[in-house]
Amino acid sequence: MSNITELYDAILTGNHKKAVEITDTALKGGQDPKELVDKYMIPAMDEVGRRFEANEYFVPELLIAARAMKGALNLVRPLLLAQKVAPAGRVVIGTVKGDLHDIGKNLVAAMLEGGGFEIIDLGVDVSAEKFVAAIKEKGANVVCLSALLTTTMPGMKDIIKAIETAGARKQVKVMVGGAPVTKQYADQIGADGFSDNASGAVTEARRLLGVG
Amino acid sequence: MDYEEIQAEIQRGVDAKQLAGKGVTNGGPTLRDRWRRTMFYQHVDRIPNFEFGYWAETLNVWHAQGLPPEVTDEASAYAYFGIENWKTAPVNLMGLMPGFDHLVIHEDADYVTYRNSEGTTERINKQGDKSIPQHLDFHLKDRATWEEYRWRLKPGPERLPANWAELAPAYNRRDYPLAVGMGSMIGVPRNWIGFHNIAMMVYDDPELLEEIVETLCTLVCDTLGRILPDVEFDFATGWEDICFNSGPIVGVEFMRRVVTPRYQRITNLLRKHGCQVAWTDTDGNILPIVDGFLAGGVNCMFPVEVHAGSDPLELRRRWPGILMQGGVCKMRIAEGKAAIRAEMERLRPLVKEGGFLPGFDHRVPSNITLADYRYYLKLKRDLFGAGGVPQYDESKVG
Repeated sequence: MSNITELYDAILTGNHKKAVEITDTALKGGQDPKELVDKYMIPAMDEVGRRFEANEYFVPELLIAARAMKGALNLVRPLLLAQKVAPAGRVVIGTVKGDLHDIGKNLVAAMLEGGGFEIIDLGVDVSAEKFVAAIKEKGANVVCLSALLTTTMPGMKDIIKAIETAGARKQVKVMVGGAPVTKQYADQIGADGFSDNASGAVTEARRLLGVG
Repeated sequence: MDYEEIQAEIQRGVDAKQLAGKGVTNGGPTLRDRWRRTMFYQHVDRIPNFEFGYWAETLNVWHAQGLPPEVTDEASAYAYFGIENWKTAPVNLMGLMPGFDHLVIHEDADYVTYRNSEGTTERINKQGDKSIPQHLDFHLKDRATWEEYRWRLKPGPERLPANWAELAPAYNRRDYPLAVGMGSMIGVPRNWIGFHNIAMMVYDDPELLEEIVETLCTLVCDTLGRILPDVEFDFATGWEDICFNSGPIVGVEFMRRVVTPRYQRITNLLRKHGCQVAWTDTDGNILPIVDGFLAGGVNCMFPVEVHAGSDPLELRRRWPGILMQGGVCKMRIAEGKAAIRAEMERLRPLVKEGGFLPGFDHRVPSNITLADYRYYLKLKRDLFGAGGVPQYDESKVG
């Protein structure tokens, strides 16, 4: 039987089968689910993020690690809910209206989930109204807006305005990202945070919420 | 000095800057000569004025800003703006023969969902930005579905144009740069398999992925082998598009082990027949895989997308002698005249050095105004000595 400390390596190397097996065994053995997440799973995904940013890992390594993490999380999550353990944050994420691109958005969602955040993924071509409704309905404290095109990027500003108009601006931190988006642009439209990569989005979300 | 001699000089430690302007060819000032001199770091009176084209929406937006209504596509726009161009031999290098039947699956007021000729199910927003569709499903999922592709990738003379016997001698009398395709080892399979799925396949089924790459390489070499003895091409154009802002969708190791050796086979064949420049189109941050391309003989990068991390000055600093096309930051061009001039001045030393064909680092988006685009082209001719004559009075642009 695998040692619980091997869960870290199983996620880091993207060994889905092993990550699920170790988690299952540990939980059946009475292991505290929160400790599993905090001590092994999130640190493993943090290391994946570090290696990704250092060009030691690339998208394939990031995706198989996220898959292993998700497999383990599926076993842990019901127990965390039962214990009323709150996620690191509740994130509404989507690609803005008129834009059908989702690759970058999906990578950010995967890494945020691996970082202990709950994800409400609205998909692509999402209107300001849908973002506002999801923020209110789900009680989100972070919203992530993605755009690939310079022509759809201005939609981010409209969404921030809609959130303000709906009286939800104080409830959420707004993060923006996507190929043409810059820190300067994020500041200009009144976003709280920006990241140019999926791993950095986790660090930024934690910074904005003061967690981790 | 040709490219191989330039590379040898650089290997001996000579800085690429010192090679600029060395050697003069005997050719006249045709567009082909200018292209060759530019790419081989030789003195040239005017550099070719090449561009990447426009997003579908851009010309429509510009019509409201004064673009003549008869300018409706890339060809008419190039003629209007005075942009030069190369030609590419119409060879079906590695396309699916036959392609999958186009099939509309669903259509409503907002969206059209269809299966395209590559078997991929896509959705287009009829109201929004139509330049890039959303991919909903990819048909190539495993070994069984690969068989539906493999039989469509058979080599044969039908991949050449029917009039090749007449085309080839005409090409050999040309005065413009002529390109031939050199295929795609990862980008096209990515279109068939999907971004997420191909990244997973690197680990889940590397043997199948390598078999796909090998099949494509063999097909490309077979097709090139049928035409290269007939025409000396100036350059070869590949297409990958496998990078985004954070780097490539396959890792450096996969690139080194699987992709680089296939490109070596292709570029060795090209060079055996006098084609010394091999160019690939990959957006995004290419820095992690430049070594892999160069080792595979792919010596020219396009479109060198600055905002994504592929700065042409940085590429030349890290890989002296590397050839590039593109590299003008579209984000800066969107910021108005002062920013446009600053971007052009920034790149001016690289143009002077040679081996660099400046142009937009991707298609021109519609947030760039017609006035700013004209100003960019004016500076390109004034500061860089780019060729081409516009159909309007450029002296009044400013």
